[in-house]
Amino acid sequence: MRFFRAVVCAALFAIVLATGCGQGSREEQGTEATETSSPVSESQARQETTLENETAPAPGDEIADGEVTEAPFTAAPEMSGGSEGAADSIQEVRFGKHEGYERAVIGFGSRGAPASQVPSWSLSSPTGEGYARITFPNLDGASETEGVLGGSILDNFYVVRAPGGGVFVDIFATGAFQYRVVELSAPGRLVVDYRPASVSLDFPIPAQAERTVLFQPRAGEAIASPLRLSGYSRNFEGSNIIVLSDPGGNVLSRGTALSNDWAETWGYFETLLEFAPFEGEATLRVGSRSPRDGSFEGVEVPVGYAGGQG
Amino acid sequence: MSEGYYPYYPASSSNFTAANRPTSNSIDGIVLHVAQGSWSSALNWFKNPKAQASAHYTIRSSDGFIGQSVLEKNIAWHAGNWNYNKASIGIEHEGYVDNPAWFTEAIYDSSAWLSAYICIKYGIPIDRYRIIGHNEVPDPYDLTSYGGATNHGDPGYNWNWYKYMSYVEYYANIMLGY
Repeated sequence: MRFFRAVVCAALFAIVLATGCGQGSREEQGTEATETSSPVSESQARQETTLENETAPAPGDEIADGEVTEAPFTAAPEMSGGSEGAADSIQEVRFGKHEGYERAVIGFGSRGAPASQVPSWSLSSPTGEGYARITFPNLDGASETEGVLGGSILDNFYVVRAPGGGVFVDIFATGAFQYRVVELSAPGRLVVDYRPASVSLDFPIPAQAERTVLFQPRAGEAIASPLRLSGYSRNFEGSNIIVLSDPGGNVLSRGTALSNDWAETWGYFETLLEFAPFEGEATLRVGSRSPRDGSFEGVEVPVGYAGGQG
Repeated sequence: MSEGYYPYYPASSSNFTAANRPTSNSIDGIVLHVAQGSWSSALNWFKNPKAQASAHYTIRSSDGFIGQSVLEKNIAWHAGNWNYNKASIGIEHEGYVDNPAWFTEAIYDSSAWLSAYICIKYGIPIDRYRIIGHNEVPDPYDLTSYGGATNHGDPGYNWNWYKYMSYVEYYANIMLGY
């Protein structure tokens, strides 16, 4: 994947891909052979990479007019595309399983009806990470906000209110992956394919619980004060609690963070936590206490101290 | 006014405790919240069993429209403190604590009318000991903290308590015929 030596591809061409076939919790249905696709943006083309052992189109794919230039899988850290104002919401995220790769299809809405084009998007796939983040700066909401894709490489997804406006979709993998992105129109959909890569991730997958996902820090990370925490949640009224405890269970520090949403989509939060030096393995808990009885629900990650002797 | 008078958007039964108040538990207070979100998204999320939270009422900012998610006889999960849940009615308000523009005249007026009605119905004294903010609910795990177990800060410093309580008293007097 991204650890492969990448070379810049000259261009990507019009692609017609079927989105049918597969297994999984939300399966793509039908071949949609008559749909049209649009080329990815120039910036995307510049960043597109070609890779060794490129796969041929999957047997399940049906190609309109017999013309196809299969988009190569890539490890490019960034991509972008879409048309500004083409949609206002995410209507659904579907899953399809193909020979050698798995597919997530994001469907869009515009004023309550399916959008005909894909809205503006930018994709970030940080090196060594087990996820890709697709930001849609002009979208306001989503009918579907999370789901288990249940594939061998595509794991799950979250729709999150972006801190700078719009929403982003995090698509998690079960391990290292390569990806490719294709835009489909009429109706507008963004197709994201993952295939496994034979390398290891550099970072653990972010800790996830029922209503909390913690992006920073990661399990096993050595932390220093002040610690920048970030993640997203669906906790009541967007309120999250943070507790750092030493190996003996004594509280080293506690704080709160307010998410920018919780009721319509997952809400992003970010805060700083200050704490005194400690020794050994501490435990960071981020989440919420139940509005019913106060019981804790959230993520719990072990962390070390990065500031030398505690 | 009978129970369920307001437009009813029932919360999932996974998000509240069925009860028979005030027979099973007395109702002696009101807890005010700010949703950190829109009226419709809060009502919709309370319908989702994953929410594990609810409020009895949610009031819309633009026009004061009241939606009911949990019947008053049942125990909504809103306070982050079981004793307060058992004995209170939870009222959500559309908006964000940091943006006073959401706290319109309509939302004060409608919420105060509702609080006055609840106070009279259950014999709750109209004062700041019985009508409190979420940020005034004790943390059951830390007696030095408030805002329930997750230390919520709503309705926040932009909420005009003086105005609100004066409206509650005004409507209570009207309802009592004074």
